[in-house]
Amino acid sequence: MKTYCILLIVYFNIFSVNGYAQQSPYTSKDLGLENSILTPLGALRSGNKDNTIPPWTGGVKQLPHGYQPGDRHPYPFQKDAPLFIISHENYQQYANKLTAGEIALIKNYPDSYKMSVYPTHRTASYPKWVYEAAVENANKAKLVEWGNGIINVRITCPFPIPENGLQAIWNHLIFFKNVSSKRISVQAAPTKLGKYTLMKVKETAFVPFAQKYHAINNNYESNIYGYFLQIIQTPAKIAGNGLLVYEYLNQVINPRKAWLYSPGRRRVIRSPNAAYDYPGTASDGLRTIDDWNIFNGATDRYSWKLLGKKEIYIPYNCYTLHSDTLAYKDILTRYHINQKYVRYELHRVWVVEATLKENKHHIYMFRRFYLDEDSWVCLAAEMYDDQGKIWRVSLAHLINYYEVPLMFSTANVFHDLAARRYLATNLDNEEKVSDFLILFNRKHFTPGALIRNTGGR
Amino acid sequence: MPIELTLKRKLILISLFLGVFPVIFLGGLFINTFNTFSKKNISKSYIKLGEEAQKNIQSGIKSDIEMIQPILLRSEKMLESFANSPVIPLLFSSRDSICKASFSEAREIVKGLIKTCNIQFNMINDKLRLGIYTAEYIFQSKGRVYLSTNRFTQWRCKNQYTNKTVHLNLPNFYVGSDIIKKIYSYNEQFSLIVDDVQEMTGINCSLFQKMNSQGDLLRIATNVRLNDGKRGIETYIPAMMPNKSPNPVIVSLLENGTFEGISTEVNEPYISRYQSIYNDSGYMIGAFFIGIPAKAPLLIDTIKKSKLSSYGHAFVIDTKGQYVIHPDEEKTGHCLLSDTDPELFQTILNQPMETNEIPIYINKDYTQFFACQRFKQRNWIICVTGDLTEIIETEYNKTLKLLKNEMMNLYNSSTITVKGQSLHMISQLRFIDQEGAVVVTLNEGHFIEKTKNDAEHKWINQHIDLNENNYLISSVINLNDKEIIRLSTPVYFNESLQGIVVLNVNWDMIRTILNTHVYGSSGYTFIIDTDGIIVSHPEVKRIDNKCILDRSFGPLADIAREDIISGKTGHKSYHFENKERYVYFTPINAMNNQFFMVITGLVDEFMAIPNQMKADAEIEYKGVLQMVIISLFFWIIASLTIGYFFSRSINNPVEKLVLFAHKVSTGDLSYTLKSKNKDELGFLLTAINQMVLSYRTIVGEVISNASKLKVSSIDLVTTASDLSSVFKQMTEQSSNVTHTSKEMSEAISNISLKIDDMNNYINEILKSTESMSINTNTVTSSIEQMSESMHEIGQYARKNNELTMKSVEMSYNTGDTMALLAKAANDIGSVVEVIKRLSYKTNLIAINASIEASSAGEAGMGFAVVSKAIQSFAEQSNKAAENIASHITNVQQIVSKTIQEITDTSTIIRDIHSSSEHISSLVKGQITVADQIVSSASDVNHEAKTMKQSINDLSNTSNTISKNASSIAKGAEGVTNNIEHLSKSSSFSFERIQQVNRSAIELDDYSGNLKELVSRFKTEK
Repeated sequence: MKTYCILLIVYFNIFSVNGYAQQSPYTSKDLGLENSILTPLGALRSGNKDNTIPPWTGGVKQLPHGYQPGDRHPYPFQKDAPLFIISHENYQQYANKLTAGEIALIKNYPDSYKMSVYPTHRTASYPKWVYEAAVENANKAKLVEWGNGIINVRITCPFPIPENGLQAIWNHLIFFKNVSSKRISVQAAPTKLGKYTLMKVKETAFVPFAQKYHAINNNYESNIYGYFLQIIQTPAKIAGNGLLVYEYLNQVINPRKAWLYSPGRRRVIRSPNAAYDYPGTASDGLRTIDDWNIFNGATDRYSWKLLGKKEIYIPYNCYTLHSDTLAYKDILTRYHINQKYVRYELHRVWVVEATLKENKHHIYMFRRFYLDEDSWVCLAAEMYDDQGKIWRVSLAHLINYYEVPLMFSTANVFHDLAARRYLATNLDNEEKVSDFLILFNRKHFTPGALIRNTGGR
Repeated sequence: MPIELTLKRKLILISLFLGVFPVIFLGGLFINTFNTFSKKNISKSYIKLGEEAQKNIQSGIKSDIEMIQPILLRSEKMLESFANSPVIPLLFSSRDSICKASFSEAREIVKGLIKTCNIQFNMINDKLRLGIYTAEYIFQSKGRVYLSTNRFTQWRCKNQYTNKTVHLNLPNFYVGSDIIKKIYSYNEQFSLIVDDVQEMTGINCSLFQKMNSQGDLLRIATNVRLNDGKRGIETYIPAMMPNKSPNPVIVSLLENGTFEGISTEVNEPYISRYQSIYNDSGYMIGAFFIGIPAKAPLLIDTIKKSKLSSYGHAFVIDTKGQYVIHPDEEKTGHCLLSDTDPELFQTILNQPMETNEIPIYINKDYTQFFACQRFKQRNWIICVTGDLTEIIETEYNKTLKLLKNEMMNLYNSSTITVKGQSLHMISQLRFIDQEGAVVVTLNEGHFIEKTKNDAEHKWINQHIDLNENNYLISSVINLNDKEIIRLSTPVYFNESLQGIVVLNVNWDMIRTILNTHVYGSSGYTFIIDTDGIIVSHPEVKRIDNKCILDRSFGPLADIAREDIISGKTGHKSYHFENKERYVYFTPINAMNNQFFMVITGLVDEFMAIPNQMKADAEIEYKGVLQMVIISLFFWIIASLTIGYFFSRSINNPVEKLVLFAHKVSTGDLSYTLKSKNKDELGFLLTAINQMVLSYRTIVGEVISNASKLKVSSIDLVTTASDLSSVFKQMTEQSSNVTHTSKEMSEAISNISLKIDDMNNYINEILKSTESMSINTNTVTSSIEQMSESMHEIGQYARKNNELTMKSVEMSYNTGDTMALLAKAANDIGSVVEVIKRLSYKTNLIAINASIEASSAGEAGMGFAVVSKAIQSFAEQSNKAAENIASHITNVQQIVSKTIQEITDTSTIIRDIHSSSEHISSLVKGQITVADQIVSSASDVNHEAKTMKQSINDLSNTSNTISKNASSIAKGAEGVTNNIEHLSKSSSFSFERIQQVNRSAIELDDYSGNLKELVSRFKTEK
């Protein structure tokens, strides 16, 4: 069985090799804030030959008219009309610019899964000091412990010009997420029949690594990457369950620390399991812990491979999906979220493949990730089961949070093709918009704080 | 003519006046007074004694009444207390009240069992709560529960009730990262979560997966086991029960998410808790179960063992009335209906859930009762049942036992001691019920179970009209050879006659008490009743039916009719059969006053003692009078006789004295006066007589002693000269001894010196012998020298031997001489004794002479001078004799000491002699040996050694001899000194004896003078 799986993977690699750009010939000298070949984060500043991808001009540089920080982010491309729609009827025509997951979704839900493709806007932008740090990292950052840890890095992506899959996925793992953030979002796992229960989750994060004057992590004291706290607020049956995670840069020295709180037990307990394929919080078993943010956590169970860059149609600038004019019931349709509100654009992405190592366990045998060229955010991923079948498809829907600015997903959707169900997370249409201007400190992320936040003892 | 009154006549007249006339006068007076006094006293005493006899009778009857009356009163009280006993009503109390106690006991048992069940159930609940907590903890620590979206397991699901099987493909059940796998084996494989819970709490746990939308729950992991010991997985709880009713567990889980109660797990009932398991979306995807087998052996055992005294037990039925727990195992599973009537069964089943007071249900026949309470947690009805027939019977017996105890107590408390014998006042106690049946009889301390006497039921009628506190008293009845009085009283309960109690008083006891008093020989106390019939008499029995009112009793019948029966107290005398009789009577205040106590008796018998006393007094009086008159005559005669003899006794001695005085005055001392009188006159005669006698004796003794003294003094002179010559001889002999002992001392000193020499020689020999062993060449010459020396030694030794022989002989001689000396000293001692006696006698004579001389007045003056001289002489001679005696004693002591020392010396000399003989023989041996050495030179070495040894011995011996010799020499010197001392002492004694000699000669002269002086007196006729 395993041999069969590997063969399949190899086949996929060969099949898709034509679509990938060659290994990057650039060096860190090519990185620059202005007038360089590469953007500070290592993307090609220029557009593509067909001009379907424009050159990067710094992304969103100015706040839209009338927007005040704390407001819901307005849709900046009102005038754009869909260029075309990819559906079950025509998907093969675009097959080389679609991910395997997208194809699987179209195939599984031929009647409803239709991708509206809009003109591409390279909106990704970050503060200047983030770019500077990225350029700095490019010369210094170094993987240690067989890729399980990283040193000499600060604020954001360590390897703007990645040499391998591990370096690429590390760029995703620690892309700039701002120092503090608070998000009250809703997730739902509609059944095959489309019934669902809304689960409201409060997520807060404090990432000291992203602090402006953060020194490079050349010692163990500065090993901490960030603190993440999830608390379920509804439904009542599971409300009050909480998860606190301490994430480290070098996970061999400091493995992830996780604490669970359950109102039934009324105790905070350490949970060494809250990693890898442990079921994600309130996910109905439709995602694993390391599916959060498409991929997070330790990389040690997989062998990583960087395939190179590829142009694909991918959800991007999904401001419509972000809009507070939408209700959850509009979005949460059967099998997948309502595609009417999803904006697809053509973007260059880095394709990274992860194959489960021998003697390691995970419910996903093989994973493929699509990382945004401009932000290193993973936009899409496909997960294969031990049969070698594509099982789950994850999609992130990015927007630029102007107030920082930074790129972050307004909705992550995890499709389970076997169950014909999906889990939609990060939806905040009926909630307050995510707050990146909030300021946290470590005190907000202690086990005691977990108790305080959940109302426990 | 004047009457010449001699001393004799005067004395006779005096005695007549003083002796005869007073006696006659006083005697007459006394006789008159005594006669009057005696007669008066005798008659007074007689009257008083008669009164006392009557009083005695009355007090006797009083004491009898005091004994009998309380007994009768006590009998009445006992009857009353028995009739009012609280136990009797208990016998008649209603069934309900008897059963009340049993009902409350049954209620208490039910309450207790409910409490026990509650405690047990609460303990299970606590355990289950712990189990639930543990399970939740484990679930949450494992992680989210979810169903796989792409992995499925094939399950063969068996309905746990119908065993119907369905095949289903269910998504894999995940808890966190762990999948719940099919695990059948209980012992070999560990099943996640469920076994964790069991390990931590000991409680069974199961994990269910929802099979379908109906909610059928499939056991996917469990430690509840099938009959074959495997885990009971792949069995499911159907949402619909086989009887098409919804399964309460599933209903509750779907609706409330939990279930608490009793459920069937696989095939056994469990006290369970279920809790639904939801996925993150809130959909129920399964459930888990925590449970403990409902069967609680200890609880069941407790219920089974719960007993209601001996006539009931506890049991448990379910809501359908089927026995769940019953002491009789076989009944379990059967219906209660089979043991009770249907109505009661329904009532029990339909009884309310919660009641404060546990209800009691009684069946129609009033034979059975139930106390029941629901225990809803287990759907039980806990019951206690009891057999009422048995209860009533038991309670009745208990009460009867109490009644019997009370009767026995009454009986025991009725003991009275009469004449040291314990008697029971009650002879019989009975309780007879309203129908005349005897319930219980206590006869003489023994219960009689049933008496077949129909007479009793007639008694009931007699008591019907009687009030509660009244009672009937029979007359004295003879029953089975015993006399009794029967008392009976009715017993009322709830104002209806329930029976009577009967008490028989032991009348024989009254007779025994009455027997204690007998007055005279035929005076008895007896009791009569109102009909005059004698009911108690020591000699008459009730059965004789003697009536005192009968004419045969004479005047007593009249007295009885008029006084006794009418309840008077008093006494009367009457004559009957020619004898005076006495009667005393009084009523007894008990038993409705129907008895009277009477004493009758002959007056003569009562008055026997006073009469006797009167007669005795009169006889005594006459005797005394006679005695007085006789003694008066005697006294008159006696006084006359005494007067005559008295005058004579005074007159005669006076005449004798006058005659004697005449003779003495003539100087004749040869007559004497004799008198036997012991009065002053007699003493006067005796004194005068004694005086003349003394003169006569003294003068005679002085004469004879003077002649004796002369003879003694001549003897003394002779003895003193003998003593002097003996001492002279002794002095000579002792100087001889001194000389000899000096010689002996010198000789011994010589021996000592020679022995020293010999010692030196021996030492030299020793040295020579030693040198001999070094140089053998000089041996021969040395031995020759030695031989010579030895010859010399031999000569010395022989000489020594001779000397000692001589000293031995001398010492023997000395001993003999000393013995002679000792004898002579003793002789001197005896001489001294003679002198001492002589001087003592002389002294005595001198004292007597001086007394006599002084009594003789002037005639004795010259004699007094002589007697004084004799006295001083006697004192001097006594002193001299004492001096001699002390010197002689000294001499005796010294002589005996000397003899002892000489004896010692001769012993030592004999020792020396034997030692020197030994030396001589040794020396002889040495010479022989030396000769042998000379003749046998080849044996020199060997012999030299022997010789050395011998010489050593010799040296030691000669040393010893030397020491002995020197000590002998010292001893000899001591002897010499002692003998010298003796010699000196004997020469001193000699001088003293010479002095004695001189004194004796002087004494001789004095005695010659004395003889001449006393020869003038005449002392013999």
